[in-house]
Amino acid sequence: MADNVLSLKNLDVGFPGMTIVHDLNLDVADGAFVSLLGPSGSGKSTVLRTVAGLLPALGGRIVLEGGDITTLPPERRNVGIVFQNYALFPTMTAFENIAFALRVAKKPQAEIERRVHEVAAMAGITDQLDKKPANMSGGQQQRVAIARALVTGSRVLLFDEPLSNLDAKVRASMRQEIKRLQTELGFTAIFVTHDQEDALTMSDVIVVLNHGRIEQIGDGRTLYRKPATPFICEFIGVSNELAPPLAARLLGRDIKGRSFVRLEDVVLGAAEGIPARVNHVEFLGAYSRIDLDVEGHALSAMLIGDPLPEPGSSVSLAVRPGAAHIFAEATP
Amino acid sequence: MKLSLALASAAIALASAFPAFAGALTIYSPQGGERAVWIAEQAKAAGHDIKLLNAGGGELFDRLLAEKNNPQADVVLGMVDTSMALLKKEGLFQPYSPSWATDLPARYKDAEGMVHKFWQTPIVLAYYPDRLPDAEAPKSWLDLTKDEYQGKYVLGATAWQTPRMYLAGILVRFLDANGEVSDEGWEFLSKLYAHAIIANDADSYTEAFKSGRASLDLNWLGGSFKLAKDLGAKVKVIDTEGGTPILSEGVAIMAATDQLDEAKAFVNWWGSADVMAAYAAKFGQVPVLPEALAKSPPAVQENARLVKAQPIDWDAIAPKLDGWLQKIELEIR
Amino acid sequence: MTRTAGFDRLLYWFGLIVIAWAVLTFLLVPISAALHAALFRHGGLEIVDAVAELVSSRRVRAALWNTAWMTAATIVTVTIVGMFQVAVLEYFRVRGSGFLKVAFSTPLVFGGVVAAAGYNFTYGPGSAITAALTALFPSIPRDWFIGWFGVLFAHTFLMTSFHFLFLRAAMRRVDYSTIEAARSMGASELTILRRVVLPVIMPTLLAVTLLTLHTVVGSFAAPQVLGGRDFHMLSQMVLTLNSLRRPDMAALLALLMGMVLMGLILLSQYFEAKGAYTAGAKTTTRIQLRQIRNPLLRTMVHALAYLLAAIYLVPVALIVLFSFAPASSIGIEMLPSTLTLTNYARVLGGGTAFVPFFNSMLMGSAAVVVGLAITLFAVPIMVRKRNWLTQALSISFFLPWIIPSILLAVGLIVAFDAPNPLVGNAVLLGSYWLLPIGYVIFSLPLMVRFMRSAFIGIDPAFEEAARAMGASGPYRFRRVVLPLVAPTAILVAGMKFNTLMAEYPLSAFLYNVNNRPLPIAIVEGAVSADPDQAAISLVYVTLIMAFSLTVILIAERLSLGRTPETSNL
Repeated sequence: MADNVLSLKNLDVGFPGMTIVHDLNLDVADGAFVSLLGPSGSGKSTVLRTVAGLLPALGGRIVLEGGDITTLPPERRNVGIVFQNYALFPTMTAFENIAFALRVAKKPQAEIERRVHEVAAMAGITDQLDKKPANMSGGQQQRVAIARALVTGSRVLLFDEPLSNLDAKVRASMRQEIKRLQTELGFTAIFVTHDQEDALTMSDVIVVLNHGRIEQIGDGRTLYRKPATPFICEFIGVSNELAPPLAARLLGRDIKGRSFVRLEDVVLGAAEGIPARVNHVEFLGAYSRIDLDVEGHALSAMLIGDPLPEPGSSVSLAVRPGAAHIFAEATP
Repeated sequence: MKLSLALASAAIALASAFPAFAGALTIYSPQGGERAVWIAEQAKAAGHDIKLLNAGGGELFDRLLAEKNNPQADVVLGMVDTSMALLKKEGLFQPYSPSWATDLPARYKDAEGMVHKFWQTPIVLAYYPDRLPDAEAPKSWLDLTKDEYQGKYVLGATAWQTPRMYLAGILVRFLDANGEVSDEGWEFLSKLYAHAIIANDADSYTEAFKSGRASLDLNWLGGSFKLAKDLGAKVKVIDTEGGTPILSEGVAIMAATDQLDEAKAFVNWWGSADVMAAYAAKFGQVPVLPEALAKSPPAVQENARLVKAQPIDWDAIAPKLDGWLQKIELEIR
Repeated sequence: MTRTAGFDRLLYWFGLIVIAWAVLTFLLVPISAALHAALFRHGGLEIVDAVAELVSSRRVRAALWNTAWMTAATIVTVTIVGMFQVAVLEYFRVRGSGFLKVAFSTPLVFGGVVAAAGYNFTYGPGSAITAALTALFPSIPRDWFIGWFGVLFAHTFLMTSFHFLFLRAAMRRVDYSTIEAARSMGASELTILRRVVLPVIMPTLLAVTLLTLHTVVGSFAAPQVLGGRDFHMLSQMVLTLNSLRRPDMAALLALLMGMVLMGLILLSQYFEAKGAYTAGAKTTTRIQLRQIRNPLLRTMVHALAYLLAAIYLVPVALIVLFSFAPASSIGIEMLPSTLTLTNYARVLGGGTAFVPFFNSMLMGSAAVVVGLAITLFAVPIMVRKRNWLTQALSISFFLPWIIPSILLAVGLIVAFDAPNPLVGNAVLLGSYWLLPIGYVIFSLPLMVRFMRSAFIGIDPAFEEAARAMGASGPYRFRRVVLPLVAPTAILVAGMKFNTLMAEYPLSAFLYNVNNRPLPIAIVEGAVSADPDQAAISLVYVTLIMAFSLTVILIAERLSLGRTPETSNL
């Protein structure tokens, strides 16, 4: 990949007297789509706001395109921000919303016109420029928000959970739209979200935060296939945690620590399996979820296609070899 | 933009207002409406540069007391005996003997030579003969509590000058040896209120007569005539047993005036026989200066003889009046 | 950059100092002067005597009792009427809602003495309605309207302005999908209203109820004009005691009222904080007007709505109509037989009738502009920084609401009747300035109350976004915050301007020979026997109502449609 456009070095973020994230190190490559993923309270938004300059850094450095921006005010950092709910000014037209930063910087009118139209054309909202936010669809509002963040020539856009209040369908199309704009326009995106689908679908790199610590950094596939901690294992995808006796039975050896197995790695109807009883079958379209009782322990499996076992029937099950994730005791 | 405009206009208004304020003689007077217009016009014609501030008698009184440390008025004109007496007690006036004071009967002058009265206003008991036969009309103020007059007379608000005066006129009849109102007096007043129609504002006062409920008018003389004229009915003034309270309005120069010469000139002009007679001709007010009365229209002269006066020492009553009114307001009505 | 920032800081501190000085000089000093003058009138504290006198007074006790039960009754009736208005305008589909909206908005510009007189004009003993009633039913007394009934009637229909302003906005924030959900589960219209809609608007309803309570407790004009001999309320007693030259008793009674009112203000701030939380839901489906299915019910709702509109409009219409009538027909004719523009020509022609109009317009707009400037500067600071200082400032701004204006007027007179070092040793009494200053003080509480809600309602993300794009504090305020609160500012300016045009107690005490204001002229016209004066007063009232209503409807157009957060309460 190309050079790093943004680096966080030993960054401490939070509020005076209350550090939320300690000693954060992160390099973001130019043109990458990086998600900060974590449950609420994990500190992901605080990191974003510190990078944006809305909160002062408590320690460490923020380097953007080779320059130290740790102490610069927000407007001089050359990063664009797309806010939760977009924060478009309801009293201004799309044009004025986009032009806001240029007007603040006292750019000449001709330049403002040119740059707003340029960025509006890129975002595909040229014919919306005279409308006010209340008269635009959610998608159009999002494009205005992105255009507004891009207009000053920022190469790095920070997204502060912009999709958090949308329903699933709209959310999916907004995701595609953000990703499309990011690919077409080539900006670097730092995207804060608590939704793993957001992160998995759009990101090149996902940074998972929990309780102010980085749990793991990697692309979606790595996080899913090779979770570094039990937290990741439970937070991304759906896993069964195996109780020690069950783990011993299924994996054929004693396990010290915690072990997890993903739903799709539980094989039903295996030749050399352990008997289990089907408690409940949940049909979900492309696949079905089967809840089982294995010697008194609950376990779920995923089944693609028909036929489905009847509730109450018995099946034999096994774990796909090598699919279990095992974490030594020391890991919390 | 709007702000600067408003400020600018305020500044202009102020700039234009101040010179006028400095030049004119400020007169506080309860004479409002067309009377005020007449006074202003006549004064101007006579070469007096005056500005009149009109308000109700009670309000003007409060205002004068409130402004005690920084008086705005130069002359107080037309307030009644009790108010003038109290203002004098507060040290607001200075002595001056106007050119017309020599001919003024003694009872219209005070010992200190500060307040000179120029009009008299009887507070009358009147009846409407088409509603109440002559024979059934009351003979005295004290007859009002008789059952036959229940619901036939209207008592106005105690904040008004006129009710204050007839209430005082009634209560002085019940003073005991210590100069306090006797229980008998308060009982009379309770009954007076219990039997009355009560009016808090001018409209409801008029309305009581318009609807035909009221047939007895407790009013100042001019007001009584005016009401009858508005109603298109005939009214008769009763020359009551025990007499009718007669007020007189006075003029005084403020101690703190910075335009003493102009103030003196105005007072001299105002009380003069010609001005008083002209005012009497215009508004029917009875002047107390004998020469002015002689020059007044016959109808006015007739009014001066309409009722005999109830002997009341207003200066003695003035300090007690507030306490009486308080008792009426808080306990009786 | 740093130079401008430094300048901004300087400006900020300068503004703070100016406001602190103004609050001290024109609020705290006069009010304490008034209380001191009232309570220590004979050099010693004689509160015990005054309290004893108050307690022993039959009429004071009656006023207390009347105020208490009238307040309770009014709250019930006003809530019913106010909720019905909101239902008709924002919940059900009712034909002609534009017309109804204008009718229901009249209390915003038709209040105080003017409205009470208008009701007396319409329903009182001399009115056409009474004439018709007594002709039909001779047993009805002509003064049927006078007494507690008239007061309650007037209260019921004149005190719905807060419902009109805020409850409607709350209704617009109800998530329509929750209504649809309830309906799908088979809930009846009534159940939906009671179980789904009501809980959402409840915090606003409580805040509105508290504001209304505040208005009823201090009600003066309605009982004064319509109460007749048997019904009087506390604020009348305060006025009476003051005119009896017992300012000590007046002050005590006023303080009693003031403590109740202060409690109400604090309570309403508490509910305001809760309400802001409820209003937080962003992705709501906009409420859609409901068609009433049952034809009988539909007809009834329409009939009631238009009856209500008639109750609102008739007194106003009569006043407007008679302002075009020849002076001689006022109070004589039930409806004017001929119309003329003479009255208007006399007021607008620039003669003596024009002067008080001009004075009041000038002082009123100056006071409103200055009041707004103070509010717009101080309120954001009070909202953002919550500490004892801003809390004290906020309570100070509300003081004029709990101190009767007479007491305030007396305080201003006592404080400025001699050279006062706080104003550079000037003597303000008797100058042009004291009355406009009084107007500003008098305007502050309502302005602060409304603007507080507006500022609290702004999504902090707007300011943050602007800050991230490099906008300085003043620039953010001017370009982002101000446009958001502008509708509320215009609205409250219009309402306050309207009240100032008819404000009596302060005006009566503080005017001087050069700025005789409109209220004085109107009252003089009302008590004057000269019918021309009465005609001119009607013209004044009509012009003011027209002007204020225009301003308020503009604000309404600006606010409710697009930025609901500004009509948050």
